[in-house]
Amino acid sequence: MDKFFATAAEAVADIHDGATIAMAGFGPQHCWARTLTEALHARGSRELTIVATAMGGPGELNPEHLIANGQVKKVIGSFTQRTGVQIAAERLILEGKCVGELVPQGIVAERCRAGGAGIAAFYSPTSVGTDIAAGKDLRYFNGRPYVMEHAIRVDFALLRAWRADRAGNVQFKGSTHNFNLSFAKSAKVAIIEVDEVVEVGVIPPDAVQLPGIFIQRIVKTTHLVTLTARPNNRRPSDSARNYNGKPGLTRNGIAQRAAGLIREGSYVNLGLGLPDAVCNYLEGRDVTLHSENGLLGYGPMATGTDIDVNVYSAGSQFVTLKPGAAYCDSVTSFEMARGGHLDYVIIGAYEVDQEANIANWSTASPLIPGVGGIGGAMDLIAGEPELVVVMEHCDSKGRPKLRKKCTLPLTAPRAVKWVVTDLALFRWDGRKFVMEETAPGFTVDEVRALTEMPFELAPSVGIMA
Amino acid sequence: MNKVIASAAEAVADVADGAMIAFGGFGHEYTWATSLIQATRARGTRNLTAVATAMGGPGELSPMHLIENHQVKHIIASFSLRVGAKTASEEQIRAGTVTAELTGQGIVAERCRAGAAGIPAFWSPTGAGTDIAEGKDVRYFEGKPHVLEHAIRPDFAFVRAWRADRAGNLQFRGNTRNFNVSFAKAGRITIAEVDEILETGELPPESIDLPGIFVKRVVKSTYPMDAARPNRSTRRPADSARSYNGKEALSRLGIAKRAAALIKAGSYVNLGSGVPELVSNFLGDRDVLLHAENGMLGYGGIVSGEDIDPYVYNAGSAYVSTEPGAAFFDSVTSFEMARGGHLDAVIIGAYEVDETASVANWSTANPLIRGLGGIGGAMDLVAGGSELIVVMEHQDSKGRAKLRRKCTLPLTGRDCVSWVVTDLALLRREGNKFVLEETAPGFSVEEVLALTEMKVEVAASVKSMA
Repeated sequence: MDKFFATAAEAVADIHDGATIAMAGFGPQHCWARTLTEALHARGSRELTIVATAMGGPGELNPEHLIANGQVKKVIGSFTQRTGVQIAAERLILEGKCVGELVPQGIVAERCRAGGAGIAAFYSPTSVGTDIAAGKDLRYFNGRPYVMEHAIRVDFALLRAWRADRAGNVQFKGSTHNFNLSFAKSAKVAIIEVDEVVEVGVIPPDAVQLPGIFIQRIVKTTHLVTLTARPNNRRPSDSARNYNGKPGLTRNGIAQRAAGLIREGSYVNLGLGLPDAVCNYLEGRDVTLHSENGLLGYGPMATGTDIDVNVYSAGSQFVTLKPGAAYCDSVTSFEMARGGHLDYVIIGAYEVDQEANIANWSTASPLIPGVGGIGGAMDLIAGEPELVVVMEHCDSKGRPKLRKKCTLPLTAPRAVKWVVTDLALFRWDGRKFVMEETAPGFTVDEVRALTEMPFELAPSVGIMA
Repeated sequence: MNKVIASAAEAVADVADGAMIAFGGFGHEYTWATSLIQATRARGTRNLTAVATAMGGPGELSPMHLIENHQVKHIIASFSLRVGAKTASEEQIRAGTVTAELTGQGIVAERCRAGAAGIPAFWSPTGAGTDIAEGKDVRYFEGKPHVLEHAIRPDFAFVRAWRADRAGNLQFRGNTRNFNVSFAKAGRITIAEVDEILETGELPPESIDLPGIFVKRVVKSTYPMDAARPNRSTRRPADSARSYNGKEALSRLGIAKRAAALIKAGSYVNLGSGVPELVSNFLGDRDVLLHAENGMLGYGGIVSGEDIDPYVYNAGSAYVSTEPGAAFFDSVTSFEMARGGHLDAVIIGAYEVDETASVANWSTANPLIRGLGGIGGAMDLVAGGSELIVVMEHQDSKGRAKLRRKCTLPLTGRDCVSWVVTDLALLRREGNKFVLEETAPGFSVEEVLALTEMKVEVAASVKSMA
């Protein structure tokens, strides 16, 4: 059995117009099948449907590269939009030239995995009560609503790994398994791009991470991994916003307070942005961090020579590993999330309201179907962890983010347990929010004036430390 | 984080009466969490529900050990009895003191995995149109019937691994992951019994087979593994042949050899237990990779003596060699391969095959007693739509035709057989009928047809089975 193809061009030569292609990759650009993407771009197949968690940024060899080239008619993913830059996917969807189907990140993995496992459809708690569930079959199990999600079977999968033997047995480096396993299983023809091709027998049976039965073709990459470390923080985390002429907590301050909520012995997922910074405040704590791209047990962010380019968190931050760390793929990672194995999830938000609803994925008004970035939050929340929202108290236009009723599309209804802002700490008591603490220098009344939702006061309101 | 508990007794001290326990393990006794099972028996907890692919044999430290002690009231499994042995589970199901729910082997793994993943139910093609689907919701997807299977979330999972670190990260030996991964994820409290306990950090992240988040307690096994047990021998001599009309037909080996020749180079193939297992003897240096549903791709011949690795065995529990390019994995992944249609061919034995290409291979009981039987993984294997080759003798031991107009026994799958290889003939499915392509040396077409109940078409030129 020799599945090796001499060139990427030959490996993609039968990708026809109208094919459905799953493209694995997560975060840094070296994790996409760049050589295969280039070859498919050169081949020019059109009317493609792309399945991927995100489309990637402009100027890189990723799904966006094909979309910008006008080769794609539909995208299925958890991000069709990118913060801070308009990608071709978003532009073409807005222009009506491409259709977008937003699917929560764990459900992208699970739907493909179902396709690969001969399961036609399954029920999931993810996205129930949000716009993403609109039009889907709803069914109750044990009194709780679930939506039916259909399997995805793709014609081709373009995958990326460290090495493969000629029979297609695959090994990954670091936390780069991500969607590769699920997409390989889902594909009629799975093509993997690797750094090294080895003879059959070199990879021991217990070290095979993806058995060759799921792989049909192998090509050697022409784009070896080079370190393209991004700046680790988009905004300075020691900056504080001013309210009433006084500084609230810095972003680091918010992260530090949130870290203080976590019980010892917990498994915790940190969302992008502000939550990322929480990992810097867990030193010496018995807390295991989960990253949905497939990493359990990471430590503070890595810099300089400590960076391993294949070890990064869901926010694409290169991170250090703690003893006991484990890697897994996206399916397993979201089993941990959706299955309720995580104790805490810490995420950012645009709005939280008095019913503990949260909105964190779109500020668009009106919402355009298929445009947005929902990521993995809906799966993370579906597992019913203790949900900690960290955010600034007001938005950049000075509007309160703690609302009577969320005005933006929901990520989940009735889900929030804690809110940590730069001005206050709130706890959900099952019926309402209770203010537990205020930022140093701010009175309860000052904070109340900056808050739209009603809340109660703890018997003794403390100072955020 | 330190999940190590000093003794098995302490680890199971909160297993309450009425609890549901999932037991990882497959085939050999030492692959069960034997110390935890012993401790649970000593504790005497009652009215348990046992989830496992099979209950084990009489006197084994397996779920059967608890059934024999009358601690179990309900069984969810793909085997609730053992062929050729009198087990307490069979006795108690017959007596009505234990109830059982027969579930396809891959579906046992998948239902627990769903429970672990927050998925309450899923639509599966496995068992559609058989007795096993009775009473279940059915829905058609792309014209094919699927049954609704509900998630299982056991209160406890007892899993068995090679070693663990104190944070509960696990490594398995050989192909013994089997149900341990799925059950560990599903258990509200998962207890891992291991040979060795390491400090956290001693297992490199890429070598961890099951992340510690799924494991709550770790205990060291007190049960010594006996590696010196001999390989199981086949039940009947493989070179014996049955006689029809006073003439010898093909031997069991002869059937296996003919079936082996049907396999195309470059195929992934699953072999059922019994005659199908013998096919592995005729693959030589063929480019064929064998799949064992307990979690292995790429095994070779059956081994004996010093060649035995007690942690590398096929689904028939026979110790096998590991070929270059082999891979180990768990039962969920294994049945993704089966149900998902990734296997090119599946070779199974059968009691009956009929004109509609349906196959019956799991029970000869009449009447069928609810919950009693051994369906194993066959229903998942045939659900994947791979080429299904049935190997069997042409008639049963009482001289009745096994190629029937209509199956009389409970079905394994409907309209799924591509080839039938018997000791008298080779039949190929074409459209909606079987075509007789070859007869055994010394047997005429007329003789074979007279021993066959189903209507078959005769090929233009019928060859002799070589």
